[in-house]
Amino acid sequence: MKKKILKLSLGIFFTFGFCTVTSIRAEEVLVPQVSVVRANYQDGMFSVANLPASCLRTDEQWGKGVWVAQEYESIWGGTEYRTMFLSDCILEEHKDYIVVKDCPTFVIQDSLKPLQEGEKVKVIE
Amino acid sequence: MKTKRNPLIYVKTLCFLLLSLVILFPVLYSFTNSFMGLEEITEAYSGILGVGADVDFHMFPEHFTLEAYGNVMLDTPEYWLKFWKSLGMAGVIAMGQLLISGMCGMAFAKYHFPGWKIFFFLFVIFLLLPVQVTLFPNFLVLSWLKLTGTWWALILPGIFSPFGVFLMTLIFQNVPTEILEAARLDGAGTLRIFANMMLPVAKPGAISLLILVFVDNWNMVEQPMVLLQYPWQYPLSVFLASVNTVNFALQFVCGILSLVPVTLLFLFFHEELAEGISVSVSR
Repeated sequence: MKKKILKLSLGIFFTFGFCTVTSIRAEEVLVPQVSVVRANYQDGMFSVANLPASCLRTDEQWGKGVWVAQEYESIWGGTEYRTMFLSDCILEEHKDYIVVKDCPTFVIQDSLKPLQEGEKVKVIE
Repeated sequence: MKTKRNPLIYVKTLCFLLLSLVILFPVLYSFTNSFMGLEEITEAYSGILGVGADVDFHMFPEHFTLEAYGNVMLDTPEYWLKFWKSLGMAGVIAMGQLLISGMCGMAFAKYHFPGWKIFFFLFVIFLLLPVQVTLFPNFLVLSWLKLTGTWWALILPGIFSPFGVFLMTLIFQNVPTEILEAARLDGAGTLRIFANMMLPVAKPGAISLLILVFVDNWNMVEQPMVLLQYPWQYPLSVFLASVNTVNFALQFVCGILSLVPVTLLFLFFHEELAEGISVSVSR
C-alpha cells in the first residue's frame, strides 16, 4: 500500500513539476515583450506629454495613434499590462516627437510581434 | 453459527458517517464546484459579489469542464511558483524543527541537568501561548536582526518552537535509558547517539512531529501578514485568499491543489502519525 501511495505521490508531483515548467515556458513564448517609454506629465494640471516619434503607429482600422500598455490588477495579485490602441490622444506630430494628451503612462515604442488589442504583454522600460 | 451484532454499532457507524460528511463537505463542495465553467459559476455565485440574483448553491456542475484547472495549471506560473516556495518553506521548517526540537527533547528527557524541570516548565508555559501573543515580540526581534520582509522571518521562529520540544521530550522519555548507556559504553558520542540511536528508535514520534509541523506551517496566515512586507512575498496559504475574486472556479481549484501535499503526507504516514501520538500520550 505504501509503495502505491509513494508512486501516486511521485506521479502527482511530477505532473505539478511538468505544469510549472510548461506554464513558465508558455508565458515566455506567448506573452510578447514590448519596450515602452514613460509619458512624463509635468504635474496634475497638465495631461500633455512629449513622446518619441517612433511611438506613432498607423492602424488599418483606427488610423494614426499609439499603442499603450494599460495597468491591470492581475487575478494572481500584483500588476499585469495589457495593450490598447489609442487614436484620439495625439495633439501634434513633429519630425522627432509627438505630443499626446490624456494618455496612460506606458506607451509602447517597440515590439517584436504585431500587437493585438487587449493582449497581455511584458513591459521593458 | 451467526453472531449477533450489537445494534449500537449501527448507530455509532451512522453517527461517524454523518460527522465525516460534515467535516468533508467543504472539501467535496470545492472539489465538485472546481469543475464548473466561468459562465455557470458566475451565474450561480454572482449574488455573493452583490451582482445579479440570489446565490444558487449547488453541489454538482451542470456542464463539467476542466477549464479552471487548465487556467491554474498551465496558463500562468504564478500559482506554481508560490506552491513550490511554500512547500520548500514548510519542509525546511519541519526538518529544522525536528533537528532542534529533537536535540532539546533528548536533553530534557535523558540529561537531567540542574534546573531542567524549571526550563521544561517554561517550555510548557510557552506552549500554552497562542501564536498571536508571540507575534509582536517575534516582530521586534526580527526587526532588530533586520530579517523582517524576508522568508527567514517565517523560517527561524518556525524552527524554534516549544511544541516540538515538548513532543520530542515525551517521545524520548519512552526510549529506555539502557540503550544510551550501551551506546556510550561502545564509545558513541552525544551526536552519534542522537542521530543513530535516539531518532531511529523514536521514528514514529519524529514523523508525527514532521507532519504536524509541516501542516501547521503550510497553513500559516498571521505570521506572513505581519512579518513580510509585500503581498507578492506571501506564501500560498495567504495568497489563496486573494486569488481572482470574480472567477470562483479558480479559487476552488487553487484550494483543492493546495490540499494535495498535506493529503499525500497523511496517506503515506498515517500509521506513524497515529503511533507517534499514542506513544507521546501513553507517557
